[in-house]
Amino acid sequence: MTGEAYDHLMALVVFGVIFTAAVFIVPSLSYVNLLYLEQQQLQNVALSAMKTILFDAGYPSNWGSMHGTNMFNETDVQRFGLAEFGDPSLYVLDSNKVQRLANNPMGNISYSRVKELLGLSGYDFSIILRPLFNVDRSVTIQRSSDEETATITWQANVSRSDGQPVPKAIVTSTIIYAVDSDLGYETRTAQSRAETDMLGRCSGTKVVSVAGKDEIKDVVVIFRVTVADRATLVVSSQDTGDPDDIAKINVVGDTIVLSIPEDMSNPENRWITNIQMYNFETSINLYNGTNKDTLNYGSDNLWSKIFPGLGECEPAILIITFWTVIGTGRTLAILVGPWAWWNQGGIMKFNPLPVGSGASASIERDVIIAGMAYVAELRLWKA
Amino acid sequence: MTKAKRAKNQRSQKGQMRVIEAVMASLIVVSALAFLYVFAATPSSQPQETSELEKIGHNVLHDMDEQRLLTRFVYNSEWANLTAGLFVSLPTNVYFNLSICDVNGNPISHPLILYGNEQIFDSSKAVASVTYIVPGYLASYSPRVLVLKLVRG
Repeated sequence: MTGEAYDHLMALVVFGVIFTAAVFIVPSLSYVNLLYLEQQQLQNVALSAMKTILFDAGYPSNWGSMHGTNMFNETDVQRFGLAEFGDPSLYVLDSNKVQRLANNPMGNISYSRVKELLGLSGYDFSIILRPLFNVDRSVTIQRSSDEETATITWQANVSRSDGQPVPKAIVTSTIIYAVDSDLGYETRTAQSRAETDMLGRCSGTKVVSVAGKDEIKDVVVIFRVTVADRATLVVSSQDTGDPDDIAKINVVGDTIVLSIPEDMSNPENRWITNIQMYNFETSINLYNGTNKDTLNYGSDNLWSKIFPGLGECEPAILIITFWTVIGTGRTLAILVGPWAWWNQGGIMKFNPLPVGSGASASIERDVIIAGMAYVAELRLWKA
Repeated sequence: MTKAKRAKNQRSQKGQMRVIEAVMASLIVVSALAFLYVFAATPSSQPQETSELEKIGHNVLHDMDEQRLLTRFVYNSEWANLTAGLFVSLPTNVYFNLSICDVNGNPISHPLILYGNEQIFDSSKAVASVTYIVPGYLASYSPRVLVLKLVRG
């Protein structure tokens, strides 16, 4: 009798084990398939959305610059796309439209509006624009007490997005320094060049000096890194003060628009002393300011000037020198723009929400913005 | 053997039979499900993966061409630059192998333009191939056909 009970018990255990295994394994098999189907569906939606973003100019076709120097109104955009209108080439994006994705003093397009225009209800997404390769840099600027010399020591590490070092990358550092001279306020430049080693590292030192009673007031370093002539630009943090505290730089078509930051931490008047355009290798002087070129929290909270042909030139970077208050005294300060993302290592994230725990799709494409190559990445997941 | 012992043996055999029945029933259920999975239409990733790689390959070659680098590299035999250009432009987990020939399909002599192990292009089931034609450099018309093979690592 006891033996029979054991046999039945054993039968129950064996059946239970097999049944439990079946219960867990079979649904997981179908879950993998379902997840995979969902992944494919997401990939197709992402491909379609990416196609619209990169190949469509949107409507109005000049939506990034249609409001001129007035505030941008996102409800006027009826179709979303970042492509340069009238450019027959593929993957060329309009920098005026890209600027509207970043936090922009002249107004930007919101995530919810883009989502609505792309018809992506039920999904969430993020758009990331980044350079082709990472440039980690450190810059030390030491100014002598008499402000006659500045020693700029820099190090750069060039790597791919997975951290793999990029050897033989040419790193050109352009040093821009503001000088208070007998002749007035000047912005001067100097260059230094180095090549990365097998570990993707390089470094350099450059001493800039002024003579007589001239004084160096501020220094900014722009790194231009090229690999097989594919270039990326990175701006070092500047020597003096917080750049966001001085002014916001924007370019709309041929017009440069400067505006006062929203916070009131520095309410003093700022004078625009000089504007230069940096196009990959050289800087070109655009404008020397006068006493009338001011920015303040009163009636002059917006400064704009038209430079015919500027939009066509698509300057990679604008270098603007201000005579402003930093700390307790007035000094020269250099500001680099127009895109807010220069300060973030050249990376722009539109809705950088974390990807959900379920399936997600990611698509990367090389694009050209203002003549420079970037990687545009679209990440899409279910809301 | 006593009557009682014989009866006990019989019951024990019955119990063993139940175990075997349970195992067999379970095996039948599992094998039926497995049989169904054989005929279930499971999606294949290869065509989609290859299609995506082809788009990436065309995108990179087009961008390099757009920046007037591709023709310069090809016609000036700047093979190291061409390899480096593809290396930094393609996603990090994508291996490539580029070959160049004239319009008649005759290979142009050039060193290996490769990233990754050459054998991976033979062993992988999802190899994408992109054909891109460059017409010439500066004023000279001399078309070259670029065949870029891509595979994910």
